Amino acid sequence: MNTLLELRGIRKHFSLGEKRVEILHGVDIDVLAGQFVAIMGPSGSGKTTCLEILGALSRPSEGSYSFEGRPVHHLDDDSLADLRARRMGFVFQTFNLMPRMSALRNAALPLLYAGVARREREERARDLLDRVGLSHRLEHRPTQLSGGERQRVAIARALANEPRLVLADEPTGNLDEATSREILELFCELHREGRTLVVVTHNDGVASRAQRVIRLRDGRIA
Amino acid sequence: MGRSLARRLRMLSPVVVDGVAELRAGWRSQMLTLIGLVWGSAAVVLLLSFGVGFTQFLDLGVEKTGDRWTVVQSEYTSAETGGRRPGRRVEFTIDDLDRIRAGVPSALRAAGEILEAASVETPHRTRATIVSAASPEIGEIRNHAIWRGRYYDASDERSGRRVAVIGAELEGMLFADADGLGRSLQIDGVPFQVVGVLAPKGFQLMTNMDLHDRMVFIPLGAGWGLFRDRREVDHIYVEPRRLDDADRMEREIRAALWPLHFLHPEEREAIRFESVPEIMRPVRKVFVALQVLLGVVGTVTLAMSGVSVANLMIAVVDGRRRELAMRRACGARRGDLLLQLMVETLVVVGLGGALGVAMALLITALLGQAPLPPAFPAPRVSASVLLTTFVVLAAVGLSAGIAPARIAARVDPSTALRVT
Repeated sequence: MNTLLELRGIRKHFSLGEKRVEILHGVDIDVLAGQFVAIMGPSGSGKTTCLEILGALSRPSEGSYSFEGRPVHHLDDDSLADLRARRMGFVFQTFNLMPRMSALRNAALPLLYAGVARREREERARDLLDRVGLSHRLEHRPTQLSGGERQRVAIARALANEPRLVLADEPTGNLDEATSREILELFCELHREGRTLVVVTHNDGVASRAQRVIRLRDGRIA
Repeated sequence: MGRSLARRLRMLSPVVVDGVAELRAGWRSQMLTLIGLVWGSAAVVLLLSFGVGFTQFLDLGVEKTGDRWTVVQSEYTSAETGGRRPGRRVEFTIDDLDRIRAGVPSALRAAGEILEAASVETPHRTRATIVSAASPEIGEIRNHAIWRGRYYDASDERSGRRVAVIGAELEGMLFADADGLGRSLQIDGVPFQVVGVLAPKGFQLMTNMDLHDRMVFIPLGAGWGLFRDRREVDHIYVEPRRLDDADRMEREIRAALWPLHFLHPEEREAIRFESVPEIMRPVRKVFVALQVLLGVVGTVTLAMSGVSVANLMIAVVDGRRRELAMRRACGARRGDLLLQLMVETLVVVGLGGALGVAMALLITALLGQAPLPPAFPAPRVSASVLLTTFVVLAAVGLSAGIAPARIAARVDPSTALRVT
């Protein structure tokens, strides 16, 4: 398997007034294409910051990040946006669906920013919602959907651009046990299809299904 | 560049849909801002329309009584010449009129006039009014459109026929059945036959002593003997061939009349010229200033509501940081969010503006139907008023959208990951 992404010596710090807060202290991570990786660690260990950098949502303060063999840590905002639009999909603990949009329009959102025409956007979003079992909920708004259904819409949205990498932050954190199992099963299915998954979780059940678990403690790999 | 433009164009329709959805969802909190916008837009349209109404009123008022003429008035001399002392009264006669007609090439037509207050009588009614005794050319110079019958002509003038044309309002005052055509009336006891009735003029500007609707018009020859000695005229109306010939025409009239009255070459007081364009120039300046003032007042009102829109949209961005961050996570560029917030602001401003313009159109339509006093012009919504309002609204919308759009474009995409 090829290496999909490679973090080397990643440091991330913020300034709080005159104080500098170090979140990550030189993290090295390699993720192979098609791997299912779980990132675990206690609160404040830097899991979410690590996911931000992996998802090109923020740049590291120091260190290098290569995606598909290309360095991306120095890219400008719009280039990072294009990278996210074409290569990455995100699933969040709080679903982060657009409240005024139907399930169909939510699932099609990344396609809009990727410049896909309307008809194709709708066709692809419809297929994806069908795939996650929501073909009967296309025109429903998030408030008209259950927690599990919302997360399915979010997964459909994450898959809209056929991304190489799907990143999830506590994807079952707001769901009951039965729904969590269904969502986890969906993730395993994606993995079996060959997608690369990086999931931040506290949930041992989720971690147990991953091929590899990276544990963070105080901004370092434990 | 081409792909980027195509991408943005594809984005436009969903962004407008989102803007409308946001507006519908938040209409309660946006109500006050919308009211401000409605009022501001209505104020711009109404104030500009009043300005246009006033200007059209002015133009029409002038047009009704002729808008090209120069009146030549006789006064007192100020300089001594040929042993004649200053302070001498210049009297115009038919000779002056003939001189102008024959010796002023830039004059298209000229008419001498005598104006006099007189008692006008029919078998049942008597009215005190103003009588104009003038050369028939006055009809064209002062724009006396005929409603019924005819205007008196050169043959009436030559033959000394006692014929009269009367104003429409005076006809109603003098004749019980409001039909005076062909009937007779007496001016200071002298009988005249009514040969024509003027089309009603309504409110007029540039009338010398009274409204034409209430006046009697008779040939100059008929006025001699009745009001003045034979050959005398009070003043002379002259119309230039071209409007920009007015100065040249004045010079030519001076050259023609000065020798006739033994005037000093530098004499400026004895004969006075007043032309409509000259008289109207300062008036028009006042009206333009009034229009600008009304436009500025309206624009400031709208701009104030623009500030309110900007505040509202900044609050909207603040409340939607997570959503905007999510859009960034999904691949939205900074420019995409800039576009989105600009469009959302323009949707708010567009709706408020459309309602305001509709309200203003309704008010102007109602005012158009209302019985306003004759000297109070109704507002007129012209294409230029609507275009100006559109430009002002667009400027307000774009200005109000800049700050919130820039804040939206700077939203950190990693905010999407933070659980609040």
